Amino acid sequence: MIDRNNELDGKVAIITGSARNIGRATAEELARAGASVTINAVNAQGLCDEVADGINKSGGKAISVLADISKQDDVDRLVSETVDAFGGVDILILNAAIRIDVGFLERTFENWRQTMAVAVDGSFRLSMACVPSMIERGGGSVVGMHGMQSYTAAAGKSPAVKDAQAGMLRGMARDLGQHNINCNIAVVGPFDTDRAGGSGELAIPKLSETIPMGRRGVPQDMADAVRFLVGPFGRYISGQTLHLNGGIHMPH
Amino acid sequence: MSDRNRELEGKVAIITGSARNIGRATAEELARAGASVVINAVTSEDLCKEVVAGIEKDGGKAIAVRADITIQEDVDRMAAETVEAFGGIDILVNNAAIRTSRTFTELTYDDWERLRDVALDGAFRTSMACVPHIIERGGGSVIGIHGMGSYAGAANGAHKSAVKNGMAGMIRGMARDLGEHNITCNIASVGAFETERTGGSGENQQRKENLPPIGRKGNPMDMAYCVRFLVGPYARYISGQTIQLNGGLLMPQ
Amino acid sequence: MTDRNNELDGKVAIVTGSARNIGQVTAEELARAGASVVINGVQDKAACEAVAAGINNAGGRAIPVMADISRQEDVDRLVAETVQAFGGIDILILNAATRERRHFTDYTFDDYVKHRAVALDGGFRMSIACVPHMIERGGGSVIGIHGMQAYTAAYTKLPTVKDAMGGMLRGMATDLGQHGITCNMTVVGHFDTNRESGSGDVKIAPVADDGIPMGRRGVPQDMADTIRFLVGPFARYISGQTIHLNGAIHMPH
Repeated sequence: MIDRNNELDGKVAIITGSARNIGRATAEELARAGASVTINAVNAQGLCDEVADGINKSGGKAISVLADISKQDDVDRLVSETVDAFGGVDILILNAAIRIDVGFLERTFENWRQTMAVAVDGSFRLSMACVPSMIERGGGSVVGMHGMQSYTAAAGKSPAVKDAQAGMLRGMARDLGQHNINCNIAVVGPFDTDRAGGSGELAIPKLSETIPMGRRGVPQDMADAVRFLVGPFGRYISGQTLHLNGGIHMPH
Repeated sequence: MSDRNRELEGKVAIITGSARNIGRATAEELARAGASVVINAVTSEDLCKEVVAGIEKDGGKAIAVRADITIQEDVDRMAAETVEAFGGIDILVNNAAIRTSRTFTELTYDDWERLRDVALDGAFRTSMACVPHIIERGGGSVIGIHGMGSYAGAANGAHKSAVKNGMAGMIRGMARDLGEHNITCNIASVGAFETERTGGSGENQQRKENLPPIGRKGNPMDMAYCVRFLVGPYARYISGQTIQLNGGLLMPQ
Repeated sequence: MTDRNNELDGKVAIVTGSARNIGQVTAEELARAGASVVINGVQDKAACEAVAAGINNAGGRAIPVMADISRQEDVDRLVAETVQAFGGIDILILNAATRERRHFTDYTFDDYVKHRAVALDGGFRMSIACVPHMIERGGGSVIGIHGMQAYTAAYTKLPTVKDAMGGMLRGMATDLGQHGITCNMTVVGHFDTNRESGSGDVKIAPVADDGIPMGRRGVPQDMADTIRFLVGPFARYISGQTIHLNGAIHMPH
């Protein structure tokens, strides 16, 4: 029977944008589950190294690789360094994104392209680069991370980017299921990521409707859900969108 | 750090309709996670006892409670027997339903009532009876099990669709009201599953075209794993949500 | 070519709960489109008669029929009087409902039964009774009206009943499509129904931070216009859908 304390033993995971917050917490959690992880950011070398060191010191396995996923060369290097270090890729967490919060009328085509280049094109590039290894290894898991505000189309948040990524992931779910690869989307609700010691307290109640669970989410909430989705107990969940928001938004 | 193999140690769970199929697999999985479980059915008392014996043999804790959830006294008795045996209630899985299929032009009001009494009213009664206990324990989890066919408006099932959507609505309303008591409420939706009648081995018994992208039909363990996750300590921020278990066959957004 | 000023000429519509607000305005709109309409309420006879009189005076055709759709005898009488007056039934608008505002922990099973008796059981009763007439007429349309707060599970509004109706309508859509009957749900967002001359001003706004993108609350005429479209000849391919009227404050997808 699978040891639920180490159920990702032997697996390799890339988590884009994992120098801090949700990406970091997720990478650390997957490492605790036994996976070898690649920590990634565009520029933050020091921070990435710190995260990887922390994991290695706790008995996990991690490397840090700087890469800008809007660039094909960087994507190729990110994947090849992972394969060199760990032998292949099983899990891909698409967390990296850049935010440009302006209303439609103020948005320039440049803004539009910049955000798409990372979250959509970059996701596509990286998925294309990782999937062959997953197929070779008999299966895998891809999770795209989104913000809830793109679902509710909050002011200034263009849903196009994340909806495009979601659509891509559903198409991947359809086509890659036969290779035992499941693909899902996890949506971040009102989370507390602005302070290093995010306690989840409702300190800044901007929300007019209270969150039923009485607190904001913390990165660990997302990490726990992703660990489930990419592991052996979530194999039959594919093409789905899982919302983590304490009950403030319940699409159905 | 908590042992993820026994993360429900000390918890008490009621799973309605757990003599066979998904209900049974779920109850057995929660028991493996350390929970004390209540095996329930309307009539199959022997089958329930068999399930209990199996769980106990594996080192788990379980009791069998025969109860018809359309009858208030039965529901109250089930809750009372649970509390008496195990000290409280933390988890409720609303799984019980009856099989029925009728095209709308032949549907009678009676058909509607019979199904509604079990799968909707029954879920209401059971939830109402359990929630005060869950509050007393400082929090917990309520799950509603839902069928994919009713999500997509399957043929010959307007009454099924009404019932399952109604239960989902109940769960969402509960999620909103009970969050302050640290109770999460979610729906897990069954899609393209094997059950006893189709000789569930998970293998390709149907034509390939009917298979979901993941390449096989679901089996009760798929649901059991998901419910175990939702009711456990690693999903406390997931509430009011609907998780589809269908290998990618249907992808609502 | 169909005259778009009179495209429901010859059609017969029942609008439950049409003594005031959205029900009334919808009935008046369908009458303006040429339909013969039945105005319905439970107790407010004077109001129903006034609405019917208003329609007749304006050149339309309407009769008032008092009926409580939670009672089978009333449902049968409502349908019989409609057929007697106008020769058949083409359109059913399920608008009647009771308002429910109670926290789950204060909700009793009796509250729930009373709540579902009208909007859910009543919906089933009316649909089962009207559909044979629609089939006889070669087609038709059923609309269920729903409140957005059931979708967003706003505090204390238990969405069970309206969600169940949504499920029923989707199941009906699947089974009745072959008879040329479309079934859809429309969802009311933040509407202004409290004042007679509902101007839609967004003054008292218990809405989310972003405000309503369209800058105003909905008015009954918004719903009436949409329903007129859905039940008419230009929407025959729309069935099993849920249309939200909320000025973009809530965008499920």
